[in-house]
Amino acid sequence: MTPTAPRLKLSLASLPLVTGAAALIGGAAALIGALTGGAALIGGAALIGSAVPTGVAIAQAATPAGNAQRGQHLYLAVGCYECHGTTGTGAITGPKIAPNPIPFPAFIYQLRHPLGAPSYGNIKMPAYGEAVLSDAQVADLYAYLASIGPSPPASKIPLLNR
Amino acid sequence: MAKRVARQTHPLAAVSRRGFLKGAALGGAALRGAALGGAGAIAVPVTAVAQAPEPRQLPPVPDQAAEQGQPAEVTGQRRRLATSAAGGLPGSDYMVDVIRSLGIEYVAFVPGDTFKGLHESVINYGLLTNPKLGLIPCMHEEVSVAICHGYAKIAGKPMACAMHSTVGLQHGCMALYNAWADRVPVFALVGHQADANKRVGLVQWAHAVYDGPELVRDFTKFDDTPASLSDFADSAVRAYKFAMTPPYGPVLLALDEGLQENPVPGGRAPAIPRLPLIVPPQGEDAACAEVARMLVGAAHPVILADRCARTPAGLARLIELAEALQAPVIDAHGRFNFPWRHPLNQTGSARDLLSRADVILGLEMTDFYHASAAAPPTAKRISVASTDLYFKSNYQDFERFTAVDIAIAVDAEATLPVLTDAVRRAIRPSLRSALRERGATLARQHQEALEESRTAAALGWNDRPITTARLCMELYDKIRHEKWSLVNGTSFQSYWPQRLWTAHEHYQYMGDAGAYGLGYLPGASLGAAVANQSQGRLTVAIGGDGDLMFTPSFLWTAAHQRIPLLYVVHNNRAYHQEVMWVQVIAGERQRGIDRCHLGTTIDDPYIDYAKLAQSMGVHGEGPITDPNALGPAIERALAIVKRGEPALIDVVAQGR
Ligand code: HEC
Repeated sequence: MTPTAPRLKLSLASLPLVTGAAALIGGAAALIGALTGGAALIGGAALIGSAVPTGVAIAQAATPAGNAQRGQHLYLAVGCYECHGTTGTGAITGPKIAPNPIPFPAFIYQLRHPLGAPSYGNIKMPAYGEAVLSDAQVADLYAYLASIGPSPPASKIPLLNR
Repeated sequence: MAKRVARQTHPLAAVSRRGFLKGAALGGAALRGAALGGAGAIAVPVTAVAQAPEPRQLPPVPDQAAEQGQPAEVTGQRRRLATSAAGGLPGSDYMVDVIRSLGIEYVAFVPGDTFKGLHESVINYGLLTNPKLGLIPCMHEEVSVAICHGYAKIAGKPMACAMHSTVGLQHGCMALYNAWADRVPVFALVGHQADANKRVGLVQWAHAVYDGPELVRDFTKFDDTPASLSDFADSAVRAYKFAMTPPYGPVLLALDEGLQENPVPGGRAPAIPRLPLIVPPQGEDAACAEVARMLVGAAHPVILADRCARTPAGLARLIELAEALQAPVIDAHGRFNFPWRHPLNQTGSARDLLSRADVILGLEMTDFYHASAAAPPTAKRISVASTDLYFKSNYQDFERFTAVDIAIAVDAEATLPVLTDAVRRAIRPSLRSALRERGATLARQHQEALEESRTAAALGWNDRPITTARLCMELYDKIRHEKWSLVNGTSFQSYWPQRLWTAHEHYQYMGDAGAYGLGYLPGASLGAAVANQSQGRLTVAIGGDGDLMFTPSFLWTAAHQRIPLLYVVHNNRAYHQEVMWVQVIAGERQRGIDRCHLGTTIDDPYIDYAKLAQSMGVHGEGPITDPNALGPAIERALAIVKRGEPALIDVVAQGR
């Protein structure tokens, strides 16, 4: 069963977390910025083994175009927000995944074959197979995460420096 | 009238084997004033009492003024009420005396006719005579029991709650299970009608049961249905002893209506047995010496603590042990075990430290298995836990079996001084510099973890829904100069308080629900606030919307009793844990992954928690969706709380 457009629309309408948060910058510049940063931030996904291509060059070459706005809707509809926060900030339930998402090949590999390390309460990231999330949808999700701008640094937030 | 007996003022005062005599001397013998029957019956016209300046539709009860801390102007009236005019000394007046002889200061309840005798004695005798037995009226037994639960964790002693036969106890039983799983003493009472001939109608029969406590026997430490008043007194003291001997737990007495309502036979109240100083079980010297040898000899010792600090003494003692060893402490947060910014607090580096650990000391761990799962199987595990002394089989809150090398079945807090002495003796001078070095490394690591947490907290700082980090830091900013007490478990806020706030007092955190039964925090935070109020502390709670909707009537009790409490609703508009679980199972089945909000989210319509609070007389503000509006809202709410009243703010926030 694949998520059909009308059903997706229905569930979005009743989604509890209506976020206006992510600045949807979109466009190539943000994507490239995210990727070059992303290479250094591979984190957990780097553990998935040698089969996964990593590195800036490969990542850039292999990143398909996606629609960030559609991606944001998907991100909320298929539950990424539940464990990673609505803008990918991370929480005890899942690591930070934006800004600067990991390179696309690692990203899609993680969705198809999550590492499965348990987070708080032993919750593990579910696999998002092609049957429920097409490659094009993964590209949209990626575009959304790549479009998320940086947060103010901790050093600039008075409440974090008292 | 029976002579009152001498007892220690603070029954929880931790007394080590060595400090027994000192403790007995310090604990002091506070004479409970004899109250029964000592009334000079000067009648004051009831009208004079009814003029008390309370803006209520009904005239206030005579004790309203005293209840609200105003000087008692109606002493004569109070005395008169405190002596039953008809039929001699009521049995339930004697019960009140027994209850307060245990140092119990309050009884929380929803009224129920199977304890109407006790109810009447509380309002017309307990409330009016010293030491006062206060009343906390509730609208659900899950609240009244949870009030006792939260109160005990801050006050260090039990509160009483009374429940109606059958249905009242059925309402309260999940809250008793929470207290059981959290090892918290609750002195619970339930009405009972033993005499079938006295059950006058349909309802009384529907509420009658010949063994009421059976319902909760799997998760109470002790229950009894006493058949006489002296039997009740013995049972009450026995129950109290069980409740207050580690591992602590709830106890339940069923009170026969006849016993409550009939006069004391012969007009002479039976003697109330004296309560001993309760000495918790303490580790034996040789076992402690062996554990000390292992800890001192370890290259990478780790201390895990869950419900270790039963009292403030436990906190001080764990600091001593950790500092003597210069060993990392990883806090499972069942209690305030260790200062959050102590350099040896390595909770943030748990995984890393455990992966190298060679000796792990688990202090009153609930889930030792998972807490130490990151450690190599070769690591030696030592458990020090009072729960090994007392358990039941049916409910499995003992968690997964952990293979340990040494299991010491004692109270960890009471055992720490012996263990620390043994550790100090085992440390040879040649080891000192290595320990200092380990301490310095850990201190750096603590600082690094703090910096990492700061960086992580900045992520999404201006997001909507508001991040839990922002929520916690806005709150902290407004309370950090106060004597604050945060009374919720913080896992749903990704532990931001522990990661970023500074806290070093035992009352600043009290752990979570125990069994994670929903509806805990509303009542528990109220109970904690009652205990904190007398100490001039500011009680704050961050609680989920789902949890709140199980027991929202606590708001009325808070308003009615004018209990100062800031309740911040972490409104993620869902049973968020369950959204994730359903997401996981839909993922496993590879279908409908966009439908997991069905049955899990709280929307269409959203609930207006501010209005909910306002409807029960509590200051309510929200929903707050703009992170920049949060600070000012907290400030406004705090102004109300500092005036001695409750306030609630509804913050639309991230799931975790
Ligand atoms: C039920 C919780 C949960 C859900 C839902 C979930 N994740 Fe995860 N995610 C995790 C956890 C836990 C990890 C870390 C362990 C692992 O890699 O499996 C993780 C890891 C990741 C990583 C790797 C991060 C890194 O730096 O290695 C990415 C990328 C990711 N998730 C993206 C997503 C996206 C996109 C979605 C939605 C399509 C999603 N996740 C849904 C829990 C979740």
